[in-house]
Amino acid sequence: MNQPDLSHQTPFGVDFSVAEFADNPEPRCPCVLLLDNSWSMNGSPINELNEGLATFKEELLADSLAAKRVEIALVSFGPVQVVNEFQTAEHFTPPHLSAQKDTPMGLAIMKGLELLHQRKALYREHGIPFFRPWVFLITDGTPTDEWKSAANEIRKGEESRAFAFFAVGVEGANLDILQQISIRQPLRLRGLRFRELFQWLSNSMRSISRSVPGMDVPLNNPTSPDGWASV
Amino acid sequence: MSELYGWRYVHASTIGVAHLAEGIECQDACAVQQLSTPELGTILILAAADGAGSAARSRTGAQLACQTFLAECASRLLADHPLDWTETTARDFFESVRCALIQQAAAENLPLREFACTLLGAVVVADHALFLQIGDGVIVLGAEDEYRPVFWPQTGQYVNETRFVTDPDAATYLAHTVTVEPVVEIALLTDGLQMLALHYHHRQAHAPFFRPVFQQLRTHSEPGCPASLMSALEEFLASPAVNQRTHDDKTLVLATRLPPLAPTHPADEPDAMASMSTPMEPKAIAARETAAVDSSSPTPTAPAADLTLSDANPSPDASDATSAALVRENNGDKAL
Repeated sequence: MNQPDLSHQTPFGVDFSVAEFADNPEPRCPCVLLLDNSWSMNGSPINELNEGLATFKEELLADSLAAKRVEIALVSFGPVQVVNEFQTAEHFTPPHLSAQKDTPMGLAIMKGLELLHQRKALYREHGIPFFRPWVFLITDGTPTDEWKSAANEIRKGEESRAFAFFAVGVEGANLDILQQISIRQPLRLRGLRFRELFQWLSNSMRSISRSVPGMDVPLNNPTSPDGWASV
Repeated sequence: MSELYGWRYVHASTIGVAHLAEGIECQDACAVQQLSTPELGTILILAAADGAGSAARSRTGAQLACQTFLAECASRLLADHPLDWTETTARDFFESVRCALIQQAAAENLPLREFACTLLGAVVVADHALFLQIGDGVIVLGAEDEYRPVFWPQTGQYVNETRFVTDPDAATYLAHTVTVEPVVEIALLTDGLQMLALHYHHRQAHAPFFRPVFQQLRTHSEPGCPASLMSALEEFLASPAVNQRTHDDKTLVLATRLPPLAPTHPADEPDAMASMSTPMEPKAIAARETAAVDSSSPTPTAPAADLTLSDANPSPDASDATSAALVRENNGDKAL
């Protein structure tokens, strides 16, 4: 082995903090909200839902990482309308939904999944890592349109782990149909605990958005005695 | 090879702020060993492993994986027959590591998954090298000013998923290769540093990360791994600048055998230099065989970063406007 030239030997230490960091986008944690604003939601339910959405944003903003990583898209149905395209929590403006017409749940699900599909394509195109998306449906009724193809898409998506789909029934919801739509057990909202529901959802998003490989993601059980849901 | 100098190397694993806050130990580990044989000359063996957060004994798993890889390579190289550089060799090394974890699990009467960890391994001789990888993290090779990942980090479908040595089907995901070019600079790092050191969009090593750190290492002319380098690296890995960008455990292993550089003292950072001046003992360092495994060292503050995604089927129905917005938004991330 060659003798190195020791003339450069210095009494000073080496400083590795000269490294410059890559400027990669934050990984994203997409969340699609499918919200029923059919006429039957009129009054307290829709008001509580709107308050819940405001809480959702506040709670996500309280976590600087989640604020940059969680991306929310919102589709209301009654009729189907894309209220918010995907935006990070810090740019998300909670809408004021009003109760309108019927409950086209099948179409709303298809629209939500389409938005998600496009978003994932965009992530891939830009080399942006992402977490498993959540699709979260809240309804108080029975689908007024064809819902079986939506149920089929959800089953395929869950099987391929393309997303996790959750359904919540407000009082009056047809849980039998929700059960056929969602692979996971649909949950029944206790009373009008929308605020607690969205606090739970934001906590879940916060946990997921900071999870690393090999780590369990801690989620609270929403059906615990003081939770917002029952089975 | 006459222009190559002795290896100078440094390695450290530092606890992430998330683990620090939760009172969890550092689950990363790394190790480097230098030895020589008459046939092959100087050999450098490097390993790094990232223990899975939810596995109870993953720190032990990561340490054992690194030690086993080093021991297995060394015993093969020092045996009568020189290393036959085939991909089967890489598989054998991997199996040895997995076996060691299986035995440890049996000895402690625990499920193998409690020792879950990733593994990055490299064996470098004069003009060829062997690399293997299971899971995330990255091995980067440098040549003066160009840096390239040997393998892209292995992730599952999502950013918070990866492969582990202990997975039942781990062997199918083992990445390995043998190169027949001289490796002059090499870095191994775990996923805690990935977002800082890799460029995700173009799937490249981020040269401004590697160039300066290798240049710093090259200002050190004496072969080996002196304590002053180790503490400088630990200090860097535990610095607020790093912890603002990652809250995971992080490991960095660096080795160079390029000619020494004159130290360049950044005139604008006199304090940083002063705070770090530990005189070193020139002669005591020429270690022939050095093996060490390290883990942990504490830190404060901040948020995270991690990996990549391996599936790709871009179908950009999304408009250019959305696309631009996404990127703009991304650039905005940095400011926070």
